[in-house]
Parts: sequence; structure tokens; C-alpha cells
Amino acid sequence: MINLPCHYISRESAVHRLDPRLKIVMLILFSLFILRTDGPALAAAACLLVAASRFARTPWRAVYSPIRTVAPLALMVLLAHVLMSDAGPAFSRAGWEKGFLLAGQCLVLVLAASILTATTSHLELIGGMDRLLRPLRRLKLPVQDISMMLSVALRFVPVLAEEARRTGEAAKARGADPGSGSILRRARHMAALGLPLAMQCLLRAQYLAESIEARGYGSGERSSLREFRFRKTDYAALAVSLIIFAAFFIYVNY
Amino acid sequence: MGMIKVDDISFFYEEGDEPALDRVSLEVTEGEYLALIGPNGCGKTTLMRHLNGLVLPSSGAVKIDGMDTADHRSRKEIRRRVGMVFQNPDHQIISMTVEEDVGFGPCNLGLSPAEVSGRVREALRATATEPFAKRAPHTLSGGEKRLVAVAGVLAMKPRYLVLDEPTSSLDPGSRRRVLDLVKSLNRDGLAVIHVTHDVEEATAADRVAVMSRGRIVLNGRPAEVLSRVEEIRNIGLDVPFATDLAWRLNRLGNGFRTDILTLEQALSEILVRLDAPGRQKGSDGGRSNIS
Repeated sequence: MINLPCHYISRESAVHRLDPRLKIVMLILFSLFILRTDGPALAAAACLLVAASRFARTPWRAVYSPIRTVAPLALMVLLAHVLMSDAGPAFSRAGWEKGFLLAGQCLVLVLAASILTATTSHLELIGGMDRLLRPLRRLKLPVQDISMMLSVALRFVPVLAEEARRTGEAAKARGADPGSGSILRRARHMAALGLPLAMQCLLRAQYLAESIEARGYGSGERSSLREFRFRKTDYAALAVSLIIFAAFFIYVNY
Repeated sequence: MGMIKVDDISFFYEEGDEPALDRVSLEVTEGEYLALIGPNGCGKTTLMRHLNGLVLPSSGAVKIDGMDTADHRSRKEIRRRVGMVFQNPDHQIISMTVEEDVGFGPCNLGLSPAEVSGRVREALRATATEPFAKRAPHTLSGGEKRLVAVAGVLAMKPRYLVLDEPTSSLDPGSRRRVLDLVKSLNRDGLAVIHVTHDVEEATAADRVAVMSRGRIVLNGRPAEVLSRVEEIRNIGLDVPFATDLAWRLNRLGNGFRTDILTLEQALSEILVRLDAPGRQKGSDGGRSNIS
């Protein structure tokens, strides 16, 4: 089993039950605001997010492991600004401030996104995206096909991981030793695994296309198993977040 | 009454090649249970893919309840009526949860969410897969995946169920579950086309068609077809254990019936003969009705 850093964690909470469309839109709005904040506002936003993650009862691990993953990137942003900022000479106070602000923005954005993915299943995310993008169909964009591709791709991540593991084991069983040797040898080993895996993927794609066709896909408008409807909690969450956004907006602009 | 009518079709994967199907004709009536057997590479799967228009014949025609699979307009309806369970469920289950996958077909039909979830529930119940409704497909066992694949097809409410080697690589327990399910679906009125190379499974069918090198070489009641032991072995298949037993006893020259498929039938024939050593009772009718 593979464990991605952004992993859905099934819990019972009001945040889990919110309409995925609302959560996606809130994340987008939140990100836009974050990019315009100063230090205190950023700190306030971070506190809000931590509170939200407690409210959603997500385990600490789920929220902070994505942050650990991007921490090196944030550190690089910080260093870049300290060493050569447009705000002043190297190691100046302005450089440190700008660096900390940008690195903090990175981390807060990831924190926000990880709360979304931890409380929303892939299915709901894709369903929500599909609904939100639906108006784009007027422009002849194949929204339905895109969300279908996304969900099929996600479904086969674990299957392909398993296949890669098996192909690797088969190579080991015949005497390959991927963990040793020069970088060049290891690279060659990876390539030797990659080719059969790519072939398997292509074959699988062909079979999948056939079975999807056999089940009547693409012969007209699709309906959905899931209904998206705003409930009381969605309206309440919308109202609360609008107030917070308004406060942020006033703080940032005045 | 509706039926699947395969009318003298040939199919070439590439022009100039050996035909994958060579002038095949076959009929399946509503509610019938047909077993299609043949060795690997004989064209079983190719024939199966013709039944819902995934592949169109190079010559000849396939008609489902009178609708031609080559007719673009009836394709959607044909795909709904002829449900297809592919050999490998991992090539068929495409959604992230079982429930969602079973609903995939009905969603493609454009049904309302309430109708879709009703159909999903029904199909899960019919295949006894309700406990896995929320599970991700890669966490299921081979047998469970097979049942889910069948559920996904049942949710389309088909008239004909085509199964391509539904029990391959299953343990005996899962295999029995799948076969029992297929039989019970057939009893409820669904026509079944069961592709297999396991002749024991074919004994449950109403009719057996045997394929070899792109042609249908035998077609009839299981007892008629499977008792042609030498022909079937020459093709590269085997006959059921009880049929083999009867055939060997018959070769001893005692007129033992050969139209025997199950051990129960073989045993009762043996018991009849033990009761009446004069051989009159066990007439050689078994031999003469095959020709």
C-alpha cells in the first residue's frame, strides 16, 4: 500500500460533510487572500487553519506531513530572499521579513490544501470539480471526460504501484540487485523495470477503454450517483467564512 | 421472442491473416444458458466481443433482438441489453469505490441519482456484495472483484449476460460462489453466455457450443456434445470426469450409456446395471442419439 502525503482520512465531522464545491471554492479564495497578507494576518490565518483542522478531527500527522514535505522548499524561499532580496541588501532586516513572509505563505497554503484533501475523498473532490467546471462545457471543453480520466487515473495508482512492486520482485528473483552498484547501474535497472511497466500500462489502457465502452460510456449525457445539495451546515459555513474573508479584506486594504 | 443471432460472420484482425472467426453462426434465445468452450486462441473472446458491437464482423451480421450491431443508432441499447463481464475484473472495475463502480453503467444511461442508487443497491444485493459497497476495488480479493464486476453489469438490467472465463484463477470456494450466482441469475430469466475452457462448468448449461480455430465445430445439448470424447480431446479440451468414466466403461463393450455428465448419473447407471445384469435395461440409447 502506498501512502501519499495528501491522504483522505475518513472521519465523522462537520467539515467532512461540507459540500465539496464549497470547500474547493473556499480554498481558492483563501489562497488568493493569503498571497496578499502581511505577517500578523498570516499568523491569524494559520491559527484559523489549525483550529479548523482540530474541528475536523484530522490527526496531526495528516496535516503536518505535507508541511514537512514542502518545508525544504520554504527554506529555500527564505534563504533566497535573505541572500538576494529585492527588498534590500543581503542579510538585511527587510530581506529576512520578506523571506519569512513568503515561506510562511507557502506553508499556510499547503496546510490549507492538506485540510481539504484530508477531509474530502477523491470521489467528492472530482465530483465537486466536475460540477464547478460544468459551465465550461458551453465552450466545448470536455469537462466530463477530464473528470472521468482523473478518477480512473487515481483508481489505478495503487494497482500500478502493486504492479511495479511485482515486476521488481520478478527481477530480483532472477538475480537483479537494484539497491547496489553505481548510480549508472541503478539507473539502468530502473529503465529495465520501466519498459515492461509502460507496456503493461498501455495494454491496460486498451482493455479499460474497451470495458468503459462496453458499459455504455460516451453515448450521451451522464448522470451521477452523488447528489450535491447545499444543507444548513453548508450555508452556515459559507456565512462564517464570508465574515472572515470580509474582515481579512478590510484589514489588508485599509 | 428476442434472441442474439450471429449470422455467418467472419473476422480478420488483419487482412490476409488467418481468420480469427471463420463463418460462425450461433443463436442464443432469451433465458437460455449457453456454454461456449474451446481451447486458448480459438476465437471465443473475439466472438464474445462481437456480441455487443465492440468489434464489428468483417462479413456477416450480428443481431440483438433484431438490432444490427453495425447500426450506430442502436449501439447504446445493444450495450445495455448485452451485459459483458470481462475476463480480468481489474480491466473492468474503474471507479474508486465498489458502489460507484456498480453505478457507472446506470450513470451512463442518464438515470436520476435516486434511480441509480436504487439499481446499485439491487445489484449489490443480488451478488451479495453489499458489505464491500464503500471499499476501494484494490482491497478486494479476486473472487470479490469478480462478483463486483457482475454487479456492475447487472445494474444495467441486461437481457443477456456474457461472461468471459468468469472463474479463471479463483479458488474453489469463490468459484462455486460465482457459478451459483450465474445459475441463479439464469433461473431468474437472464440469458447467459458463459465462455470457458472448463468442461465441468459447461455441464450446467442448456446448450454447449465448441469452438476450434475460429469455427463452431459442435453445438447441442451438453450430454450430446460432451460425450463425443475423442473429438473433444482432439480439439485440445477434456471431458467431465463422469463422462470420461462412462466412455471408458462403454469401451469395454458392455453398452454402458455415454451421455453422462455427472457422477450421480454415472452411479445410477452403474446401480441399474448391478440390479439387472441382463443388460436389457441400460439400453444403448446413449450411443445412438449422438451422430
